[in-house]
Amino acid sequence: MDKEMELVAVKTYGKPEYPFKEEAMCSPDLLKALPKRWHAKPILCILLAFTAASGLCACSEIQRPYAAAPIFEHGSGRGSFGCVSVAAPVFLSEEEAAQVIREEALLQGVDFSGSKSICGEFPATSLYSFLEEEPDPGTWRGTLELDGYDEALGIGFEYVSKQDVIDWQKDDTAKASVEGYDIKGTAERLADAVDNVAVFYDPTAAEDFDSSMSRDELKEQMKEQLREQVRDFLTWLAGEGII
Amino acid sequence: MHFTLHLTDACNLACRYCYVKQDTHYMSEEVARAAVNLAAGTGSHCGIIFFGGEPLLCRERIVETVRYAEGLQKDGKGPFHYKITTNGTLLDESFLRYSAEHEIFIALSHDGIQPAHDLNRVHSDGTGTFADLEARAKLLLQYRPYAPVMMTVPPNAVSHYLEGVEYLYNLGFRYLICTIDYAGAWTKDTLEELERQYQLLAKWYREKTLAEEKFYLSPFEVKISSWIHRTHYRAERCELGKKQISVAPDGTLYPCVQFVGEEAYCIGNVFSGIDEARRQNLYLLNEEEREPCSGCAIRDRCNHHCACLNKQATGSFQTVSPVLCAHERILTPIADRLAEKLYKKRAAMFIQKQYNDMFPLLSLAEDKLFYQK
Repeated sequence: MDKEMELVAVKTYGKPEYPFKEEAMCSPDLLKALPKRWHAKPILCILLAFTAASGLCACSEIQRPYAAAPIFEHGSGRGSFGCVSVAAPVFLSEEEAAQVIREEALLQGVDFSGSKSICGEFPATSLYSFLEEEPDPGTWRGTLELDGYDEALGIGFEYVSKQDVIDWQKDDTAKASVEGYDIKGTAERLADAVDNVAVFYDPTAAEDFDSSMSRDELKEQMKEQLREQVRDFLTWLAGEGII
Repeated sequence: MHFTLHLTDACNLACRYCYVKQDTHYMSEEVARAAVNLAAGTGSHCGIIFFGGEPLLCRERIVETVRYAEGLQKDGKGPFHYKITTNGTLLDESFLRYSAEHEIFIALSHDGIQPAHDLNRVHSDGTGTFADLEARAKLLLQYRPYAPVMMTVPPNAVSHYLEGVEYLYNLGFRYLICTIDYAGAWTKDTLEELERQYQLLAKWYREKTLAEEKFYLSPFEVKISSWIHRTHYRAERCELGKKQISVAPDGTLYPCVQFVGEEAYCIGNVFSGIDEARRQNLYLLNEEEREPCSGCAIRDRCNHHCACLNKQATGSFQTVSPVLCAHERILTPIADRLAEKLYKKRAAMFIQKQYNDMFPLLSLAEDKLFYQK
């Protein structure tokens, strides 16, 4: 191995132009694409028809048994990087956040270890919303795979991360030397778009950047802010009589 | 739960990239039985994998162990399923007949065309083993038509990658499990050649799929699946010591094959059981996200959590291999462009294979009803 060979994080990666399973199963005709030789073999067509009828679609439209939960504000949820923003904001990864959220929720008996995808219309994002000429990013329609789901309660959670803000762009053309991550704003718009889903967001340490704290200390502070978001949500759930 | 029984650390070959420190330890019948008992206690569907060194040096031990597990199964334990990974040089008709009767899955290690294979897969005198294998591989496929072939691609043979896959496919293998030698001396030039080979393999894959041929070529299948079945892929990633355990010849338990023989990674013994605290500690250490991976846009589709590969390549399971990182960055976009082209064409075999959960059953039904004698 070359000595200079290093780990390199991929900064952005466009969404592949083929659907993931839940998206594809929202188009039941897809599985009608059959190898030519199967057409002459009725037994295989019968087996295939059986599989189609057995409900392979894992995608579900959102049901509305509960009121929509608001987001609970703890942490600025905003950051920028590039040009004059020389101090890189500190973010929590999806994995770090999911661990915090699952642990905190479990203390109140909410088990987010399941998974679920929902079809719908979700907020798109822009990394340049601070520019006056930047249009409203609008929405995207498709499937959102929730970050966790409690099967018994029928409630999921979605953690809006910096990566989500990047991934949910409809136009990823670079328009300025600074990128802005409006994570909290994205979470607010997502919370308006979904029901039965707790929306949490990356508290982000940027505007309150305290140079006397190390990145590890800032992360601990952010994790505590995220725990506060979860606790407030659980209190709200209890107030609604759901738990 | 899978238990990998390292029946011996001895081997009749001296492959140049092999990570096993060859010695002459052999697993006793007592240890093998205790390992099966331990597996039986972990719940249903226990995998027993016979591994080495070369496990076919211990044919009697395999037969005894399977007989013992089958006895437990009659008493309501298990069920067990069996797999063996072999260099193939000791395969013969009697063992193949036995494996068919007892449903022992056989995976053959083979590196493709002769110039590539004989560079590394050699006898102790340095001579290649390619010539020993062709007839045995054909015999294997005669008895086990779904046998997978395990192809390792080291840097010194990377220019033969496509030819190797073509050769093994033409020989009759349809399950092609290919992995690069992560511990190899990869350079900028050999990685560029690897990228070129993946581009060629993508073309090959596309042509075969459009011709509606059925096959499994692991690098592309895994990467495409990591997008299509994202949740499942994340759930199935390496959970060190949770889904499979390696059993050393003396009965010591380790979390994976790369750790066998290293005391620091011991997680118990077949007689005293699994040391849950040690297993959990290793698992949690492996779960920690690595820098700079936490900021990587393809981290959820990457194999950087594989403790075994990291251990093999860097010496530490917590240190992600830069070779693995480079490999993922090369392979992922090539696999995605391949899948996009096939999806846009609505290529039937691609759609069925990737999106229909029942495809394996349909494919098997087709083979059994229309093609197999």
